Amino acid sequence: MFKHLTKIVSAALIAGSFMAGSSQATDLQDILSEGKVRIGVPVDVAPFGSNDANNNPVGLDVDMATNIAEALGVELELQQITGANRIPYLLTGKLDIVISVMGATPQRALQIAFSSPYSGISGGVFGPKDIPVSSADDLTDQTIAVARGTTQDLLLSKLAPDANIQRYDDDATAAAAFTSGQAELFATADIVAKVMMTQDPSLELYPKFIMMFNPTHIGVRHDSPQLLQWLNTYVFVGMLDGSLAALTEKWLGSELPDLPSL
Amino acid sequence: MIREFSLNDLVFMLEALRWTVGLAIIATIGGGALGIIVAVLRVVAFKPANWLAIGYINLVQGTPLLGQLFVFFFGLPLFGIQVDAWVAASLSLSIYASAFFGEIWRGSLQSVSQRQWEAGAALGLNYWQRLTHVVLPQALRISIAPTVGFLVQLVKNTSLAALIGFIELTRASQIITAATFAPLPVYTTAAALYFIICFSLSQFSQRLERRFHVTR
Repeated sequence: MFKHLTKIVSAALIAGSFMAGSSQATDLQDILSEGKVRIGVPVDVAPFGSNDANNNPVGLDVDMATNIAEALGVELELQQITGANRIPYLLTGKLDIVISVMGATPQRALQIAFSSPYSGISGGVFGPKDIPVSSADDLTDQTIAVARGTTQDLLLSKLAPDANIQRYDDDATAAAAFTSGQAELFATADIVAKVMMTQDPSLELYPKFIMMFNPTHIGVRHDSPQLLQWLNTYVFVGMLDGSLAALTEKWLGSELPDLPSL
Repeated sequence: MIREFSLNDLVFMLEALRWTVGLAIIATIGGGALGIIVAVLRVVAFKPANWLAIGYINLVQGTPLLGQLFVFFFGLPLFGIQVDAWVAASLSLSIYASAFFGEIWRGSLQSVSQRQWEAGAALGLNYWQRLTHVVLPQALRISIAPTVGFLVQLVKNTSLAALIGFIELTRASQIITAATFAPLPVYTTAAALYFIICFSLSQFSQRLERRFHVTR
C-alpha cells in the first residue's frame, strides 16, 4: 500500500509541479548566490548513510554530499530522507540534490534527472553452504529475506519471479529474519553480508550468486540543468583523479569498476 | 559499519521521544479545540451545520493520516505556499484528531438521556443552564474513557510524521536499527517507551473516572 501511495502522490506532484510552473526553481546560480546547498542523504542505508555512535550521519553518500558542497564553495544543509519521501522532497523544492543510493530507471527518470554514476552496489543472495543454490534458476522453495523496494528486491523479483521472497522494511530487519531462522537465504549488498560475517563468525552468509553491479546516481530536478551539468563534471573529474574510487574503497571495501557516463 | 546498540542510542531515542510527545500534545490541544466546534456543529438544531460536520468527519476519517500529512507538506508548496514540517504535522494531526474528538463528544452528549433535558426544563432551568449544569457534567464523565483511548492511538500515530522529516521515536529506532543491525533490542526499547506513555495515559484516565464517579 505504501509503495502505491508513494507512486500516486509522486504522480500528483509531477502534475502539480507542471501546473505551478517552475516558480521555485533553484539552479546552480541560485545555490551559488544563496551560498547554501540542500542535499538529502539516507541515514538508514549503511554503508551509504547511517548514524555513527554519536548519532552523526556518516557514509559514502554523506561524504559525497560534504565533498560536493565543498567543491561548490557553499554551506551544506544536510537533510535525512527515506526511500519513500526522497523524490517528493526533491520535486517540491525542499531539496536541491538527492544522493541516496539511487539506481537510474527510465520510470524514475520521468520524474527526476540522474547524474553520471558515482559508485554502485553489487547485490547478491547469501546463505549457508549446505543450501544447493548457485544461480537464480536453482531457487525452489527456499525463503529469501530482502529489504522491500531495494535494487536487490527489484532484481531478484525479475530473476526469480516464482521464488519465495519475504520483503522487510529495511536491510537490518531482513538480516534479523535471516539470523533468527525465519528465512533461509538473505539477498543484500555484498558488503553487508561480508561485515555481518566478520562480526559474527557463526553466521553462514556465503555468496550463493551475485546478481549484478548496480551503479548509483545523484538526483536533481529536471528544471536545474546547470546543476546537473556541474554534477556530471564533478563526477567525471572524480572518476579521472581516482577520488571516487577511493570513496568506494573506503566505504564498500571493493574496487569501483569502470562505469559508463550518462 | 555495523556497531553496537549503546547508551548513546538510548539518549537518541529519548530525544526523539520529545517529538512524539510534543506532536501528541499539539494534536490534543489543536484537535480538542476544533473537535468542540465539530461536536457542536454536529448536534445543533440546524441541518446545514450538521451536514457540514458530517461531511468533514467522513472526509477526515475516510482518508489515511499519511495522505493528509503528504498533502499538507508536499501538496501546498505546489501552490506556492511553503509550509515547514512543524506546521504541516500540527495542522494535519489536529485536523485528524478533531474529527475523532468531535464524534466521541457528540456521542457522549447524545448518550445523556433526553429525559435529563426534560427534567431540567421541569425545574425551570433555561437551555444554557440545562446544558452546563445537567447534561455537560454527565457527558464529560462518559467521554473520559473514549477520549483517552483515542489519545493513546494518537501517540502511536505520531510515528507517521517521520515521512515528512521528523525523527520521532519510531524513525529513531529505524535509524539505529540500520546502524546496529539489532532490531530486537532497539524495537523492544521503543515499545517499552511507547508503553510507558500510553500506560500512564490509561492510568490517568482511570483515576479521572474514579474521581468523577462515572459508574455512579
